[in-house]
Amino acid sequence: MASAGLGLSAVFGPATFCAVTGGSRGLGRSIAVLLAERLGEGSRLVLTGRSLQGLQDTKRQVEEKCPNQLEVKLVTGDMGDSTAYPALFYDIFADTGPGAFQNALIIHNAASLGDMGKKAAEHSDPEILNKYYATNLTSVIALTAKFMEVFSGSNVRRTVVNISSAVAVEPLAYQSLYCSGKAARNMFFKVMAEEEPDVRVLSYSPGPMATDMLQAVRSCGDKKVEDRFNAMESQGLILSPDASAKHMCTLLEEDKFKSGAFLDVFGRFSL
Amino acid sequence: MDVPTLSAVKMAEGGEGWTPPFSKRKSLCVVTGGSRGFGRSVAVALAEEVARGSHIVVLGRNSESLRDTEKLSKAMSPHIQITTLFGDLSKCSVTGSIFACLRFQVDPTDYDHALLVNNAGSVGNVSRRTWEHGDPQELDSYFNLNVASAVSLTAKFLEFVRPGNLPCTIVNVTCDEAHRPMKCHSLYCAGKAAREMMFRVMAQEEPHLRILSYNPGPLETELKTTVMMEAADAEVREEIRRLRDDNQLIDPDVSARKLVQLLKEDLFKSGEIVNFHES
Repeated sequence: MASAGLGLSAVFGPATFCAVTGGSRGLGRSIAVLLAERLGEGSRLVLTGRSLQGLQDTKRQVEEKCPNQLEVKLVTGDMGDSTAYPALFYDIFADTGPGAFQNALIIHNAASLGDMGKKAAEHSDPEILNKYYATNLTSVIALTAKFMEVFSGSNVRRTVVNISSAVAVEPLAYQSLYCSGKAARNMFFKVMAEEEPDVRVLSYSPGPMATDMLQAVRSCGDKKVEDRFNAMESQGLILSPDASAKHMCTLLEEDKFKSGAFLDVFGRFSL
Repeated sequence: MDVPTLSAVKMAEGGEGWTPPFSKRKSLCVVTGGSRGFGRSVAVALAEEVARGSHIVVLGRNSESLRDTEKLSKAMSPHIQITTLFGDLSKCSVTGSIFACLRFQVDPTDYDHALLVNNAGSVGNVSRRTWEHGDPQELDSYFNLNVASAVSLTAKFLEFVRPGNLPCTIVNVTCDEAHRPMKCHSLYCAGKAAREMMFRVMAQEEPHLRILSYNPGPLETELKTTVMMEAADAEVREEIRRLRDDNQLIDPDVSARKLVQLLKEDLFKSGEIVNFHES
């Protein structure tokens, strides 16, 4: 239940550590701004992304909206480069000594689409495939491992959110990398939920949103894809990232989801 | 997308689009992970059924065991060719070098049909919990073997057989864990889910390909023994022990023969997942 007035959440109250990957634009930015409003005193928001400029813009928006003194930390880095993880993770989790935080939340939002010009049967270069899975799968698993190591111990309430997609369960032509990466992540987090009953694990499908990512898919050159998105737009089915982020925050605050569940913004599925 | 009915696909004998029945077609088959376990069983089951003049290429990581697979397969039929190739699919360079090597030995235009069985895989370190998988190099290597290599191998295989203009069948060996979360199996579940989805997309994109994800059931193989001994979770170890004690682990030879039967009948819907236990 949110406290009246300031909109502070009892779920993400005082002394919450919150990391959002891919926070330089799009859904990551919306999530950062919305969560920041809910984080209590002594909380810290860590935003990662590849664009420092983008992260700084997000930070500005957070500071404008946020009524509390919130510590916002920016970490630039590329999740596709696994040799850079130790430095990246060090920066993300610096100064998180025992007792510093009561709640810890990580939102795995950073993602890439991969080469949409290739069909699955044309992905003959394993290096390209590996790079894709490094960015979208390995980084998420390794970062989660670090998160759990840093916030081990039962006195910290831990939440892990996997920003997923309907394509995790619905195959889509020219999106084999994106579909398979999301399918893999969903299963990984379902296993995590089974193994770690004390951790709240949510896979969230945010729906089609007006972001750079959607624009990239829309303009991939396939007429069918273009037509589909045009139809969605005319039916009002393309959300603002703010609206989707709000729905996600509501799910987290209500805290009724079964850990490991895969929930969709439109309620199209609950798996 | 309209899928042509099977009767339309099985057109007039000899006409365009006609595929000879399995027992009459000279198949070029590639089976990965064939040193032991299910891969070996598949190689042997194929050797029993493919027509004279067919060629089975078995890829594996253990030369000595590969030789045993070769012997067992040859014993099934003296009229087919068996080639074994040593290679570790967790290494990127291997997928390319397989076909570079085969190019000297195999002419796809000699065959009527091409079959690839993507079986190679590993269960990952089951003594680790999800949050203990912190080594990115290990993770990359795992997904390289279990996801990337199957996809890139399939792409290279299709490229290799293209000059023959052959009807192609691609098999993805899958399992319950692609859908059923299982403790200690976070990487295995993730990898199998990725593969299944990859091949579902492929089936959608390539209506002329026959793509089957085959779930062989819980098998009596070294993989299961490893899990039974090493899984971090006692319940997981116990579940496998129980399957074994209740004789519910399936003989890989039996399951492999079921797969070959499915391939012979060729009635599956491309992209679908078929389980051993389905009649």
